[in-house]
Amino acid sequence: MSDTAIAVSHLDATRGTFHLRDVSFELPSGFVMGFVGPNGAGKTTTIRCLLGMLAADAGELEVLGRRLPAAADLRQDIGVVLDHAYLVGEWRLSEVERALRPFYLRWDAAQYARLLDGFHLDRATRVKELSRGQSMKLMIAVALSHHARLLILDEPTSGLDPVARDELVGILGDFLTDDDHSVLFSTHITTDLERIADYVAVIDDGRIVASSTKDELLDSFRLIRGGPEDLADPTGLMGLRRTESGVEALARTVDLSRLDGDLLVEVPTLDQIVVKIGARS
Amino acid sequence: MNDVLKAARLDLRVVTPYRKQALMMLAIAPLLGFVMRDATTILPISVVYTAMLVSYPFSIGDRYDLTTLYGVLPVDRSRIVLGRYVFALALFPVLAGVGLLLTIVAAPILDATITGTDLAMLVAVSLVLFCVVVALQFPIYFWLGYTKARLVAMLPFVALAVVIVALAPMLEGATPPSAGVVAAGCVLGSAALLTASVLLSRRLDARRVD
Repeated sequence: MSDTAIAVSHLDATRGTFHLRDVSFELPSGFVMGFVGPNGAGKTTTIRCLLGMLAADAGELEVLGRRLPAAADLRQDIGVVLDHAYLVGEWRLSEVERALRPFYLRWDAAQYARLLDGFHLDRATRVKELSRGQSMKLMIAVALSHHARLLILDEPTSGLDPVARDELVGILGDFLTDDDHSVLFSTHITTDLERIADYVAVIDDGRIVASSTKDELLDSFRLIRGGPEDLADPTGLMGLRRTESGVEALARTVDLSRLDGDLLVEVPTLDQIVVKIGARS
Repeated sequence: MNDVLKAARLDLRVVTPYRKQALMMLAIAPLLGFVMRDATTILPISVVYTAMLVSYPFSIGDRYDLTTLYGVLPVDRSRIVLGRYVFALALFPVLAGVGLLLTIVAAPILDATITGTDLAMLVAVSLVLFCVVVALQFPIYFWLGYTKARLVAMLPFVALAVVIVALAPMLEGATPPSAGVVAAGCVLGSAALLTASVLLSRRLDARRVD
């Protein structure tokens, strides 16, 4: 067992006109990392690099202890859940299993049946007849039926109702009962991460803004509020919003001492951090 | 099971839900044969239809984002590419066999006399036709994806038609080769064309993924 599930170091990559620059973060085995940032920040591009679907221009990537590009058998250990089911719409759920099973050495038919039953998914249903929530559950069933050690989820909750999102958190909790299992969870809905993320990497405009444990991250930023005349020097402040009644911004905790004025300082939520960082760009 | 065969079998599963439409289209071949009152057209029409059918994994793949599926599966992309050709070549004998059977059945009804040599030549020409279509179109589909490639994929056939028209006067009056030479030429030429096509597709597909 490797100590790190994912290690990304100084990754540069290009997708169309978008560039990832010097992206670095590390997910230790057995933990959940929330990969957060506004839409278009670079989450999917980074994930495509991790899956070998996009070549890096520079930098090093390591997944489950193997340096990329790695042989395709690495993907025996990776389950991928996106915001849509990348399967033939006309397939019934029983056909999904028949189509994918031959590729996986550890496919567990009993587990697939158990998960479909648990998710109340009928094997006779066609993929295109599933709702978004059901599609997400199907892809999770597929990912967990080949005994993946690493789950990579790219915006799996976008468009889901709160009940379905809560169910996903519960499913991931069950998956993480094994110490060897890890999850990279990309989302712009940060409330999904409040309960389950151990680590958080924040990306914006193709660069990692912060990457640490969730507690360290929350501790490294402060939400500051003041009167209309405060924060005259906006250097280093993120998401500065000035109105007639006052001013609000996100600051790094280490920068607080240089800020003057009668400021109210609060510990921000993850959501406030992402919103303010996104507003900066 | 070998990864290439797994990929070919996946392609078969991708097109399987469309089998009813596929069989209905295959029925057009004997229908046209009867309309044209020419039994020898049934097999080539079946083969042209087969060539259309083997592009289904590309169009269905575009429709349902199967490129992502292929990227997630624990199988090398080059095996997926090779598997697509294996799928196509495996489908040819099945559907060409059906076309051949329909030709044999239709011949006496249409008062046509078709000898064994005629049938062998028909199969050889059909094989070449099929391999040319696959060899020219697959690299373009792997390069651009089906949706973008639909129009571009017709260009090789326009070029081929121009070449044939240009060469036709030079071949007039030439002594036709024996059936054995034609058959051997068809098989070897098709194999060479497909090999070159596979190599090109692998390169283009790798570039597209990047």
